[in-house]
Amino acid sequence: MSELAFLPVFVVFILYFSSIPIAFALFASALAYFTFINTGSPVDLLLQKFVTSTSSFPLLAVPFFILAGEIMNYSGISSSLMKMAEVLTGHMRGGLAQVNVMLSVLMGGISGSANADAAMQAKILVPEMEKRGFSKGFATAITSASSAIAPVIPPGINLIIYALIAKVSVAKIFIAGYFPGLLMCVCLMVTVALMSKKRGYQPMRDKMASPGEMIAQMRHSFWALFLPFGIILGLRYGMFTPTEAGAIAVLYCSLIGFFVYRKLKLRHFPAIIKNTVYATSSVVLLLVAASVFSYYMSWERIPQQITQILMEFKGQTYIMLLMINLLLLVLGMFLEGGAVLIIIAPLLVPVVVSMGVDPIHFGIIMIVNIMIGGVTPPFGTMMFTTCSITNLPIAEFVREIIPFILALLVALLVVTYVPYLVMFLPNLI
Amino acid sequence: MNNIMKNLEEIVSGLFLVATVIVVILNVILRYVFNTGFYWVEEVATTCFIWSVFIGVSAAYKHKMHIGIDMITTLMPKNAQVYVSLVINSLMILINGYIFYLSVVFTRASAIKPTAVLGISSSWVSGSILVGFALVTFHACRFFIHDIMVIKNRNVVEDAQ
Repeated sequence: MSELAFLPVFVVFILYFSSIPIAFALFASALAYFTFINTGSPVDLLLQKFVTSTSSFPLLAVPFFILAGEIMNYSGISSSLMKMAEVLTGHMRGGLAQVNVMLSVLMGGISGSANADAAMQAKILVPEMEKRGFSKGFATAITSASSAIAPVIPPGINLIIYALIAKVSVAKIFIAGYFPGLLMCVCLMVTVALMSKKRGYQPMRDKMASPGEMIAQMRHSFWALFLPFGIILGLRYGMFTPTEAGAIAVLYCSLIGFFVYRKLKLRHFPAIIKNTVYATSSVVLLLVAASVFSYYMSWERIPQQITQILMEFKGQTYIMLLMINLLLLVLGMFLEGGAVLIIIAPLLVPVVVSMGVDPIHFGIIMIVNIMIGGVTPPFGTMMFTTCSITNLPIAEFVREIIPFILALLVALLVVTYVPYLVMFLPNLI
Repeated sequence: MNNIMKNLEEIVSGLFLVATVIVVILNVILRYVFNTGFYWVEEVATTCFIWSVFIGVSAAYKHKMHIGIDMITTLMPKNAQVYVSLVINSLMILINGYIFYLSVVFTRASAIKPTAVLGISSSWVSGSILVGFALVTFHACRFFIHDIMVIKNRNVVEDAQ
């Protein structure tokens, strides 16, 4: 190993902080490494990585589920799910804020992206919350915090990406997301209730919805609520592969958008496809960049060194997981969640698995963790999304978000240290 | 027409994406309804997808959609920001121009290799990288020239005052 072994890592940091997009920063430093420092390997062979990491059939599940989520945004399903959330939680203390949290859970079942969820709710719910007496800071903070739930509830893009990286079953990690997602929901709802009591935020409706009303609303929202279960069942019984499930989800969402809720129009498709193109190419370019960068890392045996450091904690899994959680939280504050997952998961998964942590459990820990990073200042992605839509100064956001971050951290601790609760459902199938 | 030119990459990338989805959906339907399927689906789908991705990379770069942070740039005084942007855009020309050059070498080398299923030249696959990064380099040059114009115009304004 040469003394310049870690130079590329620093180069990535420098380029990234001078606002070069992370994927290009990774390319630049890996290519510079193979051109100037390690000239033993033909550089153009790196291009092979561009092809091998892109032309993979399982990877197609990612754009398909992104596309399905985008179609859902236009299909009128969100207003149906909003009513569902209202029927379920409107009577609680802090009414509309509770609806906000519940809506993220329900939306998580059709779209797998925290940012999409954050943007949608910031546009629709925050103005409505302000009208009902919530402060803008509180409304924006809870919107941002609750959007962290959506990617954990299946189907989620990050769940699929992790399954591809760690080579675990998509069906199992999908199912494993339910408990942690609901736990995050409960933690946030309790926090909302406590804060609403202090501030006098009122419920939306006087009493709980009657069973009849609930059933009527459930029937109306059935097509949206059914989707995740249909996917998981189909995957579990081998009716289709995850990629095919994504394609079917695209078809299914289009059909119910056109014929059931009737809000989807052909003229929506240019915008839908455009957004999908942006989201997909960013994620896949990152996957390519990370795989090129990992080529440099394996030349310098960096994964082995990380393994050695972590092996110090052999037999003390709880300390190792604590350290990993801290590392991920810090990274998540500076990097977009998907990027952290794509860069770090290949390094950590083999080590933690060799120490007896279930890869599915670890994937859920990682995803819950990086989603918390996404709402944490200074660079949380969902923080920027919501604040820029609602025009909230970041300083005010920081004041309001703290209790919600603490609530999410409680959920993360439980998810990390009580594996049984995460693994109970996937072990059933 | 202008609109088409402005969104050309989005349109091409989007068409490839739609083709990918349709091929996979058709295959699922064929398998369940007619108990048959096309042997070439995976290769066609992944080839369409790789084109969609690398042209989409350029579309996203053109509209500054790639994930980056602008901490240092926003901390700087307004006047200095354009110089930072100039440095960054020249770095982007270097990085992407180099990847483009490598992709030319790579595409030429892969021309004689047939693909696994259809047996066509692998250049049809690797060409997507070449086209994608050519476009990104082109846009980086455009941004670079734009920065120079901004600096020049400002000097003209200052001289006039």
